[in-house]
Amino acid sequence: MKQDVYAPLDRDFTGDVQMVFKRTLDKLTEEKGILGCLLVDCEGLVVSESLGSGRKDPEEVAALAGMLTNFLEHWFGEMDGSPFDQCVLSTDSSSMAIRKVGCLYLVVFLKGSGLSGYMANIVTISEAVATIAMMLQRTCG
Amino acid sequence: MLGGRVLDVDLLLEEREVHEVHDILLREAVRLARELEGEDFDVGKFEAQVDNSREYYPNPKFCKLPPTFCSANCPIEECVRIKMLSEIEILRQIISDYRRRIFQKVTSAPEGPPHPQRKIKKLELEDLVRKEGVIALTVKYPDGWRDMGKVKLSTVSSELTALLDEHLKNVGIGEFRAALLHLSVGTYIICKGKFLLGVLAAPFVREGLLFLWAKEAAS
Repeated sequence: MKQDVYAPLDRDFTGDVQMVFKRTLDKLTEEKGILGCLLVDCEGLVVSESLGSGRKDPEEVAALAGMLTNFLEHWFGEMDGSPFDQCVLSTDSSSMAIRKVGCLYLVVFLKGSGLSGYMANIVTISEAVATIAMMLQRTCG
Repeated sequence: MLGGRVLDVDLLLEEREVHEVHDILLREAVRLARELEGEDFDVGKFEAQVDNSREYYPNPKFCKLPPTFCSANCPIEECVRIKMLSEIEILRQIISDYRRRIFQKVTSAPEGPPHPQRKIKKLELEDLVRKEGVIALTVKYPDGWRDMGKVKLSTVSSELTALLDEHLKNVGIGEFRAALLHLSVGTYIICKGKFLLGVLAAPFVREGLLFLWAKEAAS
């Protein structure tokens, strides 16, 4: 697996993989400008989440992320055979970024519409991606 | 990465000598600084700032000379390498910050002060395809989708916007407005506005600029 250029957000890799994922997502959600995040697999199932209470339904978000990434993987594959890497979706009130990490997808909800919210947090998000990638590598090889 | 591809420094360091990587990053930082601050940007001053912000200069492990004797021509190879790596890290952070600022500038300034990139406002939609770096464009006119350029994007634009229109609201993040997607062949943007618009551009086209084109074309 290709390593991200960023250092991991969480350098504490103690505990099982679920615990590290949860801790990383919680840290990411603490960032100013980030509303919440979750990790989903390619089938649209929740692996770990930090969305806060009563904000969004993790199952619905995961299902959307799964559907969208399947669509993009398929389309990108048809275009030039390259895998899907990342995307940012902007709405009239907020935005949502999806980053591929190995076999998983990190979904991040950001404050404000447009793409500037993502750009303002790109380093922290990349650090979270690096942590998850490292943990996946340790676990799955 | 968004806001211009983030240079994969680790990969560069695997493939090239440290001084080459350093030069690549320095050139990129200067290019971005010029874009942000105009052609009057003082390169010499910038290089001096980077030089002064090095943390391990000189490295006492390899060199006992006082800092004033320290130079890039130092014969102690390992010492120079460490200095270079330190500077590479500083440049990486500077580039990341510049990209963020450029992106905010071009995507958030509604009418704003005149910016060189805003000249493209006058471009007609079809001109986007003729513009260097834009591979294809698809537009939804009242009578349907129309592809301009060599790549057919109307199907994917149509399917993707339908998917996002239908599902984003359900998730509770509001009504779909724009999407920016990354492919290895380039960046694909959909903007929902006056025209529903899809743009595919080569990887070297900066996303901030591309997003501005799309936003202005769609408004």
